[in-house]
Amino acid sequence: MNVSIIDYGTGNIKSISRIFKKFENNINIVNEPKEIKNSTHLVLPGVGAFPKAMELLNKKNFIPEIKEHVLKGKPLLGICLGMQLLFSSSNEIRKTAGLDLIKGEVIKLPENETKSKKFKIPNVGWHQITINKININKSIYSDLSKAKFYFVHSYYCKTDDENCNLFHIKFNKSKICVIAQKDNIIGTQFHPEKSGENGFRLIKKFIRNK
Amino acid sequence: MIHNPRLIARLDIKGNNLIKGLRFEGLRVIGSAKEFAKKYYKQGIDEIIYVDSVASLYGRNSLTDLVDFSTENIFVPVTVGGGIKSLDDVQKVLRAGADKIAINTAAIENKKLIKTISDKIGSQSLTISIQAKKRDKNHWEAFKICGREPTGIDVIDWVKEIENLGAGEIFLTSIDQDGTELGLDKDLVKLVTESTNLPVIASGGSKDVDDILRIFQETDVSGIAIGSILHHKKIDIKMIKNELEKIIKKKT
Repeated sequence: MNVSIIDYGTGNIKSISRIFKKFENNINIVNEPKEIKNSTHLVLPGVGAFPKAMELLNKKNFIPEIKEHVLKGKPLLGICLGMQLLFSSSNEIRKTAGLDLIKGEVIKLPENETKSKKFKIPNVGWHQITINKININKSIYSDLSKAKFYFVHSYYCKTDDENCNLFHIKFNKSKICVIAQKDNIIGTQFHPEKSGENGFRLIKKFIRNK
Repeated sequence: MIHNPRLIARLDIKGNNLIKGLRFEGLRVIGSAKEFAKKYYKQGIDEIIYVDSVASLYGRNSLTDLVDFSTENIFVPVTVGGGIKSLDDVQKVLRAGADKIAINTAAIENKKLIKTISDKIGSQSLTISIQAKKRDKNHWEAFKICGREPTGIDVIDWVKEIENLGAGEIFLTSIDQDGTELGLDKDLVKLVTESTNLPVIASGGSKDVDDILRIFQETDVSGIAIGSILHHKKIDIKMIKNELEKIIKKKT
């Protein structure tokens, strides 16, 4: 096994690599696209703004290798902004094309309709995730339903295909997708590396593929 | 009450030790910071904040070793404050593995720094720490240098200003209540949360479970940071979280 975590100049790579190291010794933080080739598992982290992240991935020429990894049927995990990058496009700051591995767009979280401050943007904190009924038992991740995870984000992924919308949370009366999955590709809006024991459960599933 | 309140452990640090004072004075050693942090993580704390309480006196930050330990052992968000003076300091602490940094003195002395940091790392990682001392009914003054020096700045004016400058979160401590275990200052928390859209973490003086639940229920505070009662084992993390869970369930 060889888990590669892409380091393209954004995000807290250290915490991510350390949670993986609890399960697997062969963890590589990769700075060069060619280093992805040998990996069995690929992780795309990310913190910050969508356009800047895409610019960095493009500049470092990571995109062809990421797509090749996926085409070979090997698992890919996008975390937080890394999940959003998997989608077709985002309208954060300006409309920007994403990796288009999962169809859909990244849009701003729905604002409060009333003066209540029950939900704040950015959405920071823990949420219990709920499985999308049509996808019950279809995924190795299905049994994470009702588990709590840690979020920090202002935008979220709106999937075109409901079959890719695996888990959601309720935010200002809307259900927003927080785990998207398409075959070997999975994205989590939350940070498994900051979500205690539930984060460990998710990472273990990703690594063991069961 | 907000939808998903957070319970945060506040660890004041000196060297490798967890310490605690009373109204920012008379710091006493409680034990090994690493051991306490790990214990709170195991007990289910939502977040941890480390405050190097002597750092801004000496202009240094000695927390990087503790932060590095945390990325290996503590898988919940970690905020680091105390003595951070520049963008360079910020990046050092984040590279060591912190998720957020908290600044007070440097932000007051150089407001531009707030925008500089926010533009560079994003507001999600930037917490502004406010140390508030009560001056009058509905009037609190912001202090700097670990609650030692008055600034003449009104807390509410400051709250509004930092929101505009790009702060991501407010870590609000009542100097008057800090370490007293006499109860959080509800008036202060209410006034600050009503003056901003930023998430507010309240700290200083947590008394018991009822006190914490009351502040969550009667204000829009996003989190409460507990120190003294936690270190002195007067409160149980799991119990507070269970009680909070019950209240949230009842509401939805």
